[in-house]
Amino acid sequence: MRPTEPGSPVLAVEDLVVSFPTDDGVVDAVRGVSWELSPGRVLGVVGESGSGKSVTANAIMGLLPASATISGSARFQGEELLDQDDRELAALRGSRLAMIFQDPMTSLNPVYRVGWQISEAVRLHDDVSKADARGRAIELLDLVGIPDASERVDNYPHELSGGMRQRVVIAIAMANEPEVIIADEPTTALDVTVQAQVLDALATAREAAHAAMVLITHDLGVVAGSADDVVVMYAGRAVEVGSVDDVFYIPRHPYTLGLLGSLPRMDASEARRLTPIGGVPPSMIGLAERCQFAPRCPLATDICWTEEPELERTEGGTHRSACHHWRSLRGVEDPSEVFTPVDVHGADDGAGAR
Amino acid sequence: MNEPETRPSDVAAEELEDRRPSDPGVQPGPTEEGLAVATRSQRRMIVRRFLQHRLAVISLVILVLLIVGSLVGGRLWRYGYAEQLPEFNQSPSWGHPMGIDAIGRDLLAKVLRGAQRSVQVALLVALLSTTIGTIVGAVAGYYRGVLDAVLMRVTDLFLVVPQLAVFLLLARIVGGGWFQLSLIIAAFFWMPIARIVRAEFLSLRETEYVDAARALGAGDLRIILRHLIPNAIGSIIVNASIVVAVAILAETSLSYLGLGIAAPDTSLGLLVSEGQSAFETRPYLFYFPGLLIVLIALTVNFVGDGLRDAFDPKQSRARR
Repeated sequence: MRPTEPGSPVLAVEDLVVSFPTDDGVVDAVRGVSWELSPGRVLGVVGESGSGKSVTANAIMGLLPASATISGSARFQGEELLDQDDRELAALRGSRLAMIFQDPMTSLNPVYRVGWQISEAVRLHDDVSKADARGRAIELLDLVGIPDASERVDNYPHELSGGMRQRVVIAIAMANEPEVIIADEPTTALDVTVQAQVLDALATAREAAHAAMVLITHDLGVVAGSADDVVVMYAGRAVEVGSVDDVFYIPRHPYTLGLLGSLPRMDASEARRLTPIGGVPPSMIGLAERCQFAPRCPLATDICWTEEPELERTEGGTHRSACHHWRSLRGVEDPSEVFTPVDVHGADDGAGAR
Repeated sequence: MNEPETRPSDVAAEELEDRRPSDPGVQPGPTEEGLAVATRSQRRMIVRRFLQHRLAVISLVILVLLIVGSLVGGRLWRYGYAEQLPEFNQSPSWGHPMGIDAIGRDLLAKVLRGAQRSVQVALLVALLSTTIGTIVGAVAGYYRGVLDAVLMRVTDLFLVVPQLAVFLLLARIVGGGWFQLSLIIAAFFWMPIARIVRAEFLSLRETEYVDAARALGAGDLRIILRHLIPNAIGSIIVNASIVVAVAILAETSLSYLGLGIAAPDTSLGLLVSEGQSAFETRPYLFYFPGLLIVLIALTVNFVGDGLRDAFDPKQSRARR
């Protein structure tokens, strides 16, 4: 284990490549992703379905199926995770490295009381009595904002609402005060009204444990509200990396700009048309050597079709973008300057045919 | 079914937040619907649903009476099962409710003893075959791959072997005690359970709470024992109950063929076999043990039916 000097990342992913064999060919789910998570910070990983966000998380936790081919490196406190076997990982998982899953309906075991499940997390890593573990469970339920924690501890998952269940999942992840939490779409399965409460509970719990967090989501709003740094993923690669402010206010990748433009905003002073990104994400089988966003990109030129851009530094210190044309986004204030706004009233092109 | 108990209890949860009892010592009364719902446990739900299956409940009562009766009754009844009486070939009477057989033994005493042996065999077979089947199925379904292929081919092999022939052979080799008989029967009764458990595991292992348990640092053994088996326990119990019924019949057939339990000990199958020779003249010697076999097999099946409904809420609701 390498000594960790202060300020060094608590979790560092370097050139991670993951592929799966399927009947149709090899799926290149993650194609060389690198990022670092500093202690106490929140890193948001955004991207649409199939962009490799969750596969990255599962690769770090060692939860990918045996058929997956993994290369690159993922270091936790300087310790390589990818070459550890299940037994070695078991000591880290849940105690120093915790994961929160997307769907609280399925990530809790239906046959056990929630208190049992939190106690299990405690007792797997800590040799404490059942009574102490139960006390800790009540404490944790209280921390994540469950009212009447001492009664709720004896409930079964099906007796709780979705938001309550996700709080329980958070409590389980927090049970051993981990250094890193990987939250894989923690609010996606919840009602919008509950999302904010659960994010609050997550923030409270995270601060109580002084943990760093990787927050995987496809919701830019969630990232804007909770993260310090952002990685935008597209087709298995990081296309833009930077602080939240940099990425949201001066996006230097057309994909990020397009995502921002397709987000309805309540804070806009005047009515604004949404600017969707046309087309669909590429199939992840047999990707050609080119910018994978080129077919959907209004800025694409010849070079985009022959050469896949690497992440390169833009004007801001840590702000990086993988686009040949990031410079042409300078001074772009509004996504509609690059993408075509959608006509809200006659929403589709087929309108003329009617 | 009472709807409020089974629907996702978002409403109940929200209600609870509003209705925090001011005094924590106050027990939820019948008016506090929300709290009553929140405290109902899974086990009680299953018991409740089982109790709604009237036939299963009646069967369970009869079955328990039969088992307890045969265990206790054998000791209390004034004649022993191997006791020679001065009379023989007597029709049922008050002194001998099931009559006396051709060599002067009280048939009730023999039937009690026989039922005891048969039930003993059936329960042991159910226990053994369920254990073997669960282990084989769990390992195959959890680890998949080569291990799964090997175990399932072994299972197939046991299924295609002509069982009666092997029973006959084994019974000759190991002899006819009730314990050996149970082992022989159990060796050929675990396959359906292995297949069912494997199928359950194949789907359960993909659930997120298994990933979540692994992400918590739980090992394979813990995941299998604490997370997967409890979730598959419904089908395991139901199939164990079916095995009980089939094992009674298997024991009966083997004893009938003279390969199971041997005199002076007795079993229901042996009694039927003994009684059939006098079927023309004294049919009661055949009917009493025969009826008991049917009764036990039938009630066990109904209980299994009730258990299946109790563990599967969807099915029970559709029925009512």
